[in-house]
Amino acid sequence: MTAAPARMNGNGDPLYAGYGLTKWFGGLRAVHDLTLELFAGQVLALVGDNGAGKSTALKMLAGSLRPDAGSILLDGESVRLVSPRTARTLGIETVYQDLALADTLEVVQNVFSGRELTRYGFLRRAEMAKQTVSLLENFKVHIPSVFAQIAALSGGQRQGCAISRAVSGGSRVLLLDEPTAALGIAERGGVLDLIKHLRDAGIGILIISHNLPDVFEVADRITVLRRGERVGNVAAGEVTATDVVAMITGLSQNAAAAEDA
Amino acid sequence: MGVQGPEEGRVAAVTAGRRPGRYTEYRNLLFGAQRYPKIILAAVIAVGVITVIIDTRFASWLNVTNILRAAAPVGVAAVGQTIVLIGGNFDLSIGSIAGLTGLITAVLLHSGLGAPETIVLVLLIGMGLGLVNAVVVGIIRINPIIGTLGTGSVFYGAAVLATKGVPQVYPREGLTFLVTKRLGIHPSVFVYVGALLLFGVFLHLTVWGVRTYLLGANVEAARTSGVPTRQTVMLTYVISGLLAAVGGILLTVELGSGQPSGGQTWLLSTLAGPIIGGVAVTGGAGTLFGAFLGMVLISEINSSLVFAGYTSFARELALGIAILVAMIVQADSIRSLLRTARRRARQRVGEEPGE
Repeated sequence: MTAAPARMNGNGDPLYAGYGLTKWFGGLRAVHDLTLELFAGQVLALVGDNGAGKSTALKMLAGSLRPDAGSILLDGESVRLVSPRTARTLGIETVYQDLALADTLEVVQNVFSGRELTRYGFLRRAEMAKQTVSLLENFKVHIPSVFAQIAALSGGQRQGCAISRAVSGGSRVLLLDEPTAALGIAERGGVLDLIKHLRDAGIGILIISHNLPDVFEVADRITVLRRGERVGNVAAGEVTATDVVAMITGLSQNAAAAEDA
Repeated sequence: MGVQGPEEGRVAAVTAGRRPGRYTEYRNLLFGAQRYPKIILAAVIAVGVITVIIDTRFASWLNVTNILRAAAPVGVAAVGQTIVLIGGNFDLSIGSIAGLTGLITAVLLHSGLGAPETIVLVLLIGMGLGLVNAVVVGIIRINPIIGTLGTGSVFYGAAVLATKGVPQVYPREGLTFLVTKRLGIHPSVFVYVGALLLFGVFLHLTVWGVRTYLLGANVEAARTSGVPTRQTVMLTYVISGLLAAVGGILLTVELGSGQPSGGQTWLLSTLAGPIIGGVAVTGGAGTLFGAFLGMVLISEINSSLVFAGYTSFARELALGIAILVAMIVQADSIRSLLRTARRRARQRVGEEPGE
């Protein structure tokens, strides 16, 4: 990958960032004093063991969980995310692992759900179909028909639709929770290509993944979480999978030293 | 996708050559993505053909319109049930709302109120009763089955208590425009078709309709897409109450008096029509056209039984069998079984030329 300078150093101001994010669930501290910085045209991977707080962190950035402490900044300005809807209106889109798609509905209906095109109060089905076709073609997501039921598609096609849907409204930040889980090898490649395509289009992307080869294929930076705390924040090109595993499990003495930010 | 398996490559090739046409664009609105109502259309035709062989009078204009007329009052109410079902809920109080509003229709006409005023008032009452369900299910979040059984029982109880179970008569000239046939067709059929068209447009061509589908298909997806889920649920119940009241008026016209227990058999039949027509009880799937075909099939079978020499006592049995057959055909287990069989057959065909 030949990376644009802005992507390489990440020295510019972050597009979207959380500082000092903390979340308690009763007596359990899920996330503590976490800093996450997303840059335009970069992919940040958030890795960690089960229960490390990855999903909690993502949900706070997505607006579906309110942090108990800390601040969230978009373009350097503090934002208050009251709901996922607020986040969405600010151009922050989230695609969850369980795919927030409606299985029994058509691809078009899913892509435009919540922001249907209308004229005089009536749906513009033809126009929405046309836009969906060009959207999916643009992202190289191939499906039999935009009027096909989501349930009739393969896992990769569904993920492609879910991600395309998320960015169709011109969003600038994309949060992906395990986008390649439960996909075959070929389909996984397709979804990773889509993520790269969106990154090159200037979107700031956060990806949670358990799959380190996937992480290394798309990520510019890797943030490692352990027991709710950030134990590493490294450039993907400067570490090996072994280093990251060491940070995730905490088995290496040097793990803390890997913090270079 | 970047890397393609042979299967995906094939699909991609298909996409490139096919643009959504006018027909594909609206086909789903009639038949749904599963195309299930086509089977029901075939069943409607098959039952018709068989009965005509038994007795040609079955195909007469009078009988055909009578089948539609018999389906109309409960059919109008089933339009409401369909909308509620697609939204992922149930309205088990429809029969009671129809009974109560039908009764009120008779009482109001008897008291000397004019027909237009009576109808407007009764429709408002229907919407009000629907609003009670809307609050119970949408705001208080009581399980829709229990909640609407409860409200339905209250509505029915009120009707019985107020009248001590005695039918209420009304002046015959009160609703003549709903009695006099036009073009040889009973007015209730026009009302039914009108309700189908109006709410077909609502359900399939407006934002609120598509939201109803989304709500029934995946509440979580609906919520994250910014769909006002609570308002959507409430809207479906108010529409259902309104249409139950329309059905109640038609029922009173049909029976010639307002009967407290008038709509009590509608509990099953308003569910049976949509379900036979492919509307999913799990929500989010099915079409109003399918629900219409389901209602027509039930009414047709009832008529067919008479022509075949059975008494009306056979109806309940036939209805039960029709519902079960429809549910079995739509069951996931059966569908996947059929899919596997079809794939095997295709493979066998594919192997032969190569040998």
